[in-house]
Amino acid sequence: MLFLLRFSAIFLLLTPFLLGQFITDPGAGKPTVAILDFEGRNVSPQEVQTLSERMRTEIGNTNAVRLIERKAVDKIMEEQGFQQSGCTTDECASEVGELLGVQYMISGAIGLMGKTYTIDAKMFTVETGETIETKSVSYEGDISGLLIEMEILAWEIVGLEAPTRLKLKRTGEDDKVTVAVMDFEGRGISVLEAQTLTDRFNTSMSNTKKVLMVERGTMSDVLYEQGFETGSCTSDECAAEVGAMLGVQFMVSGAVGKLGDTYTIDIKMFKVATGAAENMQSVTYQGKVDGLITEIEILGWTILGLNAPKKLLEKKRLGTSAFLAQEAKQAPKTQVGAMMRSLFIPGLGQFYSEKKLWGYGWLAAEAVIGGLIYLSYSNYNTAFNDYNSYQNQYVNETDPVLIAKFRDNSESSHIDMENANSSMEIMVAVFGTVWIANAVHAYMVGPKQNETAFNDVPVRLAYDQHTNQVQFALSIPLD
Amino acid sequence: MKKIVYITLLLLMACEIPTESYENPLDVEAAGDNGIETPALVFFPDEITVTSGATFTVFVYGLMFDNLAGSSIQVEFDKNRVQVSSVIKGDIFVDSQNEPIFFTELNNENGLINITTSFLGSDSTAIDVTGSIAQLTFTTVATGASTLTFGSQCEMVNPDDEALEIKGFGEVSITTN
Repeated sequence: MLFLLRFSAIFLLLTPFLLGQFITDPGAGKPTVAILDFEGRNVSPQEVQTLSERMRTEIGNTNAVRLIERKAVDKIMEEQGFQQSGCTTDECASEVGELLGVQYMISGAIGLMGKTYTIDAKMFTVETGETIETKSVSYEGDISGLLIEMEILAWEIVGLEAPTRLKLKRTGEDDKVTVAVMDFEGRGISVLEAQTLTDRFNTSMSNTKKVLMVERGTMSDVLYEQGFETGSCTSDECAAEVGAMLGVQFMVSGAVGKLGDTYTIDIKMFKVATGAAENMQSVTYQGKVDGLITEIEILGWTILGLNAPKKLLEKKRLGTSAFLAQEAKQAPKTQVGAMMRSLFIPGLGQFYSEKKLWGYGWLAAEAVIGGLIYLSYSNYNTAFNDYNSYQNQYVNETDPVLIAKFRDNSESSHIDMENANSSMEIMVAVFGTVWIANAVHAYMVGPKQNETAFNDVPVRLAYDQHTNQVQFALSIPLD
Repeated sequence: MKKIVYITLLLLMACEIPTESYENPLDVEAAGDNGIETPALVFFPDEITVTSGATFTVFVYGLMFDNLAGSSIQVEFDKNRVQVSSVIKGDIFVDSQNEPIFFTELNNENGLINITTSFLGSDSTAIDVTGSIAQLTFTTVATGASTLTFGSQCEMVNPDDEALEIKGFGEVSITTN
């Protein structure tokens, strides 16, 4: 709530300038801001300067303010006999701000406590000295990580949400493509139906694990801020604009039409930066609406240039009802089922539980031990045959020298036989132990019953910021 | 399934370790284990299983005698079960100079065999050896178990005709089926 009030205050403050930007000179009308080099505490002046500079660069990308160049700040400071690093009080900052003729000043401090870096930033009006926004960040890690924190701070200090790309960069997930999906335009179907299909498409794309999707809530917020009604932002220009505000790389928009019993789906994925179409997919479908959902799910994969999973293709081939009936016939996978399979063949239970690496591991382990058992058995067999051979020679020999020799050989073979047998017994014990361990492991990693969606209480309470009301939500997964 | 059974059988077979058995009557170590001290007179082999009417051969051995020059051996057998058919000299007193002295007396009525044998000539005086004194051939006449033993008149002598101590005597178990 506090955030909303604060956001609204900044929004109201900045709105005239933001609106002015689209009407006349892009720079005109925006509030003017100057950033003083942050104060360094346990951090070198060079590093503080670099970090402050990063904030200056990024704040320019927000398009929310007009930034006074560092050179101008330096010149004023020089004239006043200050060094930037020496101007740390609010009074000094206000004085510099007045001389620069800016409306707002941003100042702050970067400190190091133990292994934790702290950033405290403040934006205040030069005229009254009133603080408009304060932000504090704690960061643990290499100092270079503060660069991204400063970039995010640049957005947040002017009351804007940092773009998704920056947030992803912070979490190290910036290798994935960021995508936002606009609600599909419904032609011949209701808005709610179009939204449902969009949701299913969103889920399907998310399931590919190749993209990072922007949440529907975030998208709604942006559209709401831009004054769009639900479903009214259907043009490519609007989508690109929203994409830019969300900071995503790609936007997906589309339309679902109904002509008699025939449905048409047209989906386009395009780059936000250039507006160039990345991929376009069109599907014509005739039949029950269930099949349309499957088509949408498949499109969630194909729009990314991926092959749809076999399960989806099977669902398309059989039809949803038949597919679900077939699924229902198949007994659900259980931990006991996994264990029984592994008791029969090592690793089989793990394969059954989709833990293929483990499956191969157990199978290989048993194969190796089995090989060692066979080697021991082979040694035993050789010793056994030698023993019998020497025994025959010993029994029939009459030369005392040869009798002694055959006896020695026979005793030696007997020892070899015992050793091979002991080795074999140990290996058999290990083999059995590993077999049992494999079965226990199969049980542990086997499909757990309590992982099904139905064991999760499907009731939620949510706060709707648009209606200022608490909502009660009940959701039941249909798949 | 067959493979599993085969492997299981292999594993079960692998558990079989035969008990060590050293029963050669000419093995000095085994003789000691069987209560026969050396020097001794033994038969080889010491167990015979034959069918009725069949013939078999048994060797008489002197085991670990020192300074041996001659011997007089008496063998007793169950005349109702076996009959001696021939006795041939062994190789214990054979040398490059002369054939050994070798006299035998076969008495199937009393179940006795007397053998006298020694070196002939002054060049061959004595040996320290284990060797065969005689080869006895028997014919079984009735089924049943019997033994072949050394009699009380056995004597082993050195070149001075002094008796050598015989500490142990072996015997043969004969089973006629």
